[in-house]
Amino acid sequence: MTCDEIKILLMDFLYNEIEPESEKLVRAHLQNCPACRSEYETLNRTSLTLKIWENEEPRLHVVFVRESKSWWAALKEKILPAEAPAWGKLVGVSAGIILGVLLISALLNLEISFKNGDFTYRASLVPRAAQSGMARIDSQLVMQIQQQAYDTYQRMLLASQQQQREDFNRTLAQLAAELNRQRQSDLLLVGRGLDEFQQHTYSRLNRNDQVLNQLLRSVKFQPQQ
Amino acid sequence: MTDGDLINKFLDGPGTAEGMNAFNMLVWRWEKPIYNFILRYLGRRDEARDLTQQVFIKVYRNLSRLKDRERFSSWIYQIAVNLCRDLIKQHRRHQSYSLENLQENGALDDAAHPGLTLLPEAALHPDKVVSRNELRDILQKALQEIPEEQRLVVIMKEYQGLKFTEIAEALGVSVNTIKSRMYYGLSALKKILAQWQFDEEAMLYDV
Repeated sequence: MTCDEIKILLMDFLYNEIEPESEKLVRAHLQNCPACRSEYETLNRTSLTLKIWENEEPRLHVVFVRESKSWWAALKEKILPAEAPAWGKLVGVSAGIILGVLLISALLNLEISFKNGDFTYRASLVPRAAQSGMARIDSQLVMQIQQQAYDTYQRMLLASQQQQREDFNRTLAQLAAELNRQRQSDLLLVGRGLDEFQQHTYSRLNRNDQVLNQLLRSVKFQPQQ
Repeated sequence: MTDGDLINKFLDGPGTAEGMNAFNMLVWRWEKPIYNFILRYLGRRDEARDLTQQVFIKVYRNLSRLKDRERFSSWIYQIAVNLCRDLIKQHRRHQSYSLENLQENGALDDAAHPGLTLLPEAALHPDKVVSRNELRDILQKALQEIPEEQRLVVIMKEYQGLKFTEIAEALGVSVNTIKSRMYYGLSALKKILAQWQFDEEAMLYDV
């Protein structure tokens, strides 16, 4: 066995995935070939060195939750379950179509009449009875309703304005009180500061005075009057 | 309960609470190996976190297509490798990541999360923690120095503990190719670490 041939087997040997017979070959070769032996040792050491890098915590906090179906998908599933037979689906779909057609006809006030062997169709968004009745609505009643609506609206407006004014006044009063309080505390602080300053100045003057006196005494200097 | 059992449970009732529990259990089992695998492969923590999530989203969507439940391990690694390779291609296309700045970013990432890898027993010896992190950074850089194909095999073998046959299955190449990549990868790492005079120093620490 040549040194080149041993390279692949060396990997098997290093990671304990070698067949017993090949293992014997590798061991024999390593004993006789110092170059391969030293290579095996350094590779083994490199492999151990790599192990210093330990697994880290991913901190993913991934949790899969159930998919929430849309109401449309849920409805579809209810009416037409996936496992329904083909004829069942057909019945379901046709029932849906018929329902839809009826609903649209009802909304359009579709009228079909049969007279003298002819079909006549009539469709309109406004029902026929209401069309004729509309003109007869009392104009006075309309005025009255409008007036009522106007009154209500005015009252609501006034109430809301009143409310706003009260809110505004209350806020203003609070603000004023707050400002007043702050001013007082500021004044207090200023006053205290002034007192302190005065005292400080006074004591400093006093000290200066004493120092000067001592100085005068020590040089025995008598100022001329 | 094996991975296969969990997968079966999930596929039996994908919409039920029990199915979701089974899937989350699967995620909980696999997130650490997959995250560490991607981290060592790409060398960046932020991307590893991102891609790990993507792996599990892919697993969630495609699990029903996995025919042989026992091959889940090589299947999930396959997904992870493909996602990583896509990202590498993207980086190459944008040319915004040179190798150097990849490593720098990785190091910055560490500084931003100094407590990330504190080990309970190591936390009692602050000086040792620093050394451990330094060693880890050196290994991280060394791994980025060797060719991508070899790095992949070295990581799968050394850190994921996969058998050569499993690696071959996940990567879709012959076992002998895997072994030779392993050999060359390990030799290259040996040279790089020796160049950096890392061998002896590292062995001072009990591995």
